[in-house]
Amino acid sequence: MISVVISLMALAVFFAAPVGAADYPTRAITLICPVTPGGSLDLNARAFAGIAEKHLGKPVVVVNKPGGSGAVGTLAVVESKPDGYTICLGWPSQTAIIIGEVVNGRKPPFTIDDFAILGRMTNSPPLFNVKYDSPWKTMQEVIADLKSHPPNTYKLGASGIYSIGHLPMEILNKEAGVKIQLVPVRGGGESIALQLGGHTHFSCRYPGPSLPLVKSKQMRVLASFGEEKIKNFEDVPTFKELGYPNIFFYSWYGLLANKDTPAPILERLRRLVKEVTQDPAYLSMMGKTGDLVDYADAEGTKKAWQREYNQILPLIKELEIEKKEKEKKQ
Amino acid sequence: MEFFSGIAQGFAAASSLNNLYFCLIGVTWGTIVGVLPGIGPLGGTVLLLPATFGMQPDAAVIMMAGIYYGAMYGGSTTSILMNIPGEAASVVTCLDGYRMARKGRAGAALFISAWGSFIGGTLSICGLAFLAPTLAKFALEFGPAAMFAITLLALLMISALGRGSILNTLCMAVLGLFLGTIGMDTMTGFLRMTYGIKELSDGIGFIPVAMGIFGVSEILVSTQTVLPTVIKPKFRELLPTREELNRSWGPIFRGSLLGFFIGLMPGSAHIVSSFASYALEKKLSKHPEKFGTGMIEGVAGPETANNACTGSHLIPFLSLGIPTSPAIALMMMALLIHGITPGPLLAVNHPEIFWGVIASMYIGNVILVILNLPMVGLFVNILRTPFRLLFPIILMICLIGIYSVNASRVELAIMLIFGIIGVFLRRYGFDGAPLVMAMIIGPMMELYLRQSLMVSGGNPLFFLHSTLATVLLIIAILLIVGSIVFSFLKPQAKKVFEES
Repeated sequence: MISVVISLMALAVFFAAPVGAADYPTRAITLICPVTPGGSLDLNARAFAGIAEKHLGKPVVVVNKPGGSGAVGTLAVVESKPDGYTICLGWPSQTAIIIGEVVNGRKPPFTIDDFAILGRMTNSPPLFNVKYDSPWKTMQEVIADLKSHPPNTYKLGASGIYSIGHLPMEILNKEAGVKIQLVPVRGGGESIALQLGGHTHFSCRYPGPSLPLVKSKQMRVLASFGEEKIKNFEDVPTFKELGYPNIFFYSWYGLLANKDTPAPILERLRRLVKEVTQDPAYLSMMGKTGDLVDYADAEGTKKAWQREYNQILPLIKELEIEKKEKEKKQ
Repeated sequence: MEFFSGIAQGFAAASSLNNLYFCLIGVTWGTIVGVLPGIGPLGGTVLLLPATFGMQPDAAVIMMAGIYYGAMYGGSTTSILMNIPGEAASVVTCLDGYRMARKGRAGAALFISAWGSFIGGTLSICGLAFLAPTLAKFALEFGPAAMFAITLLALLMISALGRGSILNTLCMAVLGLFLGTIGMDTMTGFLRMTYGIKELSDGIGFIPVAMGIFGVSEILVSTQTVLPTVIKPKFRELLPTREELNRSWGPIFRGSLLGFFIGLMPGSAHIVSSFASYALEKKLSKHPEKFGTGMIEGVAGPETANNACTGSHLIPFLSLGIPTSPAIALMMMALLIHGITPGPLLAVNHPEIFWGVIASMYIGNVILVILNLPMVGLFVNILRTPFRLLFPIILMICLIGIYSVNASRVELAIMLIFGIIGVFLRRYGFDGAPLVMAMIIGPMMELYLRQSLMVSGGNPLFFLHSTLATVLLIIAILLIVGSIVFSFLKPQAKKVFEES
């Protein structure tokens, strides 16, 4: 008899009122970071988590779940319980993963619609870097050199295929009618070392890592992939100004949650992104690391993401077709 | 002149109570992280990263550097006591260190390991302090061609890791090369042999494999045998004998030089350095066949080397602002967040950071040797625990350790599967070490070869552009040719061939 009562009481807990916005969060939230620790994405996540904790009142724990260029960690949130306690980062690598599968006729592990987008924190364009003592002082000189030499003469180091360091190069190749060759590297440090040692010529580096290199006169920034001038690099021309309005690219960091998360919790999380991006402590930290804080709400982020998807899809499709042609010849 | 004033300023900065305090925290946490299998200095640094946001920049970097070289001290502890590599660089220490522990010489192994680590670390810091600017430019010479040559040399030395017949060793090395190919190809994005398992797209991590083949298989094998009664070590047995100490000086000296040079390489320098030292000691020894049964040289050399490379590994970062591995990238971030720009001007604009870090590394090494030497007794007493209690605890620590890194159940499965494979390998006389090393070095060599070819535009003579690469490749060729010629001259070698 007693055991029946106890079991009924235990069962009753499960039917208790679902957690409403007023109660959320009641425990720590897990922020999944789909890359190995140490990179700038990871650091952005930790900076966000540190400030978010103060606004939420509960800890935000960063868990690294690397693998498959971010697929593993991203899938973890798609498959998680939609209770708002598991969120993950969103950034262009996911776009590349989706497109990579779609153009090859395979089903992607997730799509943009599989997420409830919470908002965007940063949005930075890559910058075209050359070594300080290299012969090029302007982007026009680079493009002239690229056109007057055979394709693949000049190399650019980037980590990973279709990564945020590689895609800008392909956009430049396509729109300017040139052919820079990719040299895959492992990590930003190796990319810097290869460039300084003269083994590669160019790189598409983001404002964060570029700033110290420019300040210490080891690298020069010749052009920006943004559509407007950016902070700390006001004298760097954009490709738009140089006459290439179709050359633009952004790497952004946003926050994603499971698409079935209840509306009140989503609303709290979306508000959280806004609060953190307006927090002076967060802004000061981001200001020092060079990533540009550029808040966008859920709608705005989705629009920007869709725009990026539409920009990259034909690009990767062409590249994959090229690859298959090359293989057929061999 | 400027050097001495710099060093003096550095020691003044490093001895401030605040910096000493964080140095102590860093090295202690580093040692713990090194002892715990699975989590390495990168994971340990990441855990303390939020704390660094509010700290002074010099204290932050001092603490993070402390974690880095502290882990090199701690990693050998579990390797020697339990045959579990606590850190990637300690895989090699398992080979002879654990054998020594089984023979009752655990204390000596731990002592020599700590002592060698101290000497290696200190010499490396002196090298860093005196030679940083010169060596920084040299470090940039390590382009893909030179890195390819070094990894090729390392691959040639894998035969030194084997205990049994050469054929068995080579089989394991080839298997390791094969396992290393699994994953996404960085150049084309093709997935090799992942069978749709997303977690395998970054390859089979060598940490779960190493922990499985060494640690888990050791536990499983022990359940099949009747274990000797627990050794109760006496105090005198904790210290190395005079003979052991004398035999260690050579390896320690050579390990320091080798480790320092290899630390200039970008990437996973510490693994290659300990492995190279082991191979060198085995080649130089009068009794190479005894390596793998508990030779002190096999502990002294590698442990010194992996500490010696910590100093030189910081040179590209301190002198040029280039982070050569993820743990160092974190240090760079810590500086950036405080508004300090790492780069060639760091020594000029912020001498208190540049010299302060160098001085604190010296202090940290002293703290570590003071911490570790007396703890030898404490650690050896762990071996007094009855095996039926010890082994399940070790297994739990391994499982938690692996999961704590990437929160991946696939890695847990890999570790356990390789544990079982390890049991069969031992049964039939195969060694795990060549497999693990080949798994690490194979993919590195492939990447550097292809990078070199891309940079040179497909020209197979790419190494001619780099004197360093050419020299190393000539050494490699000489090694191969020399071994073949040698084997025809030495009758014993012919017997080995006939036996297998």
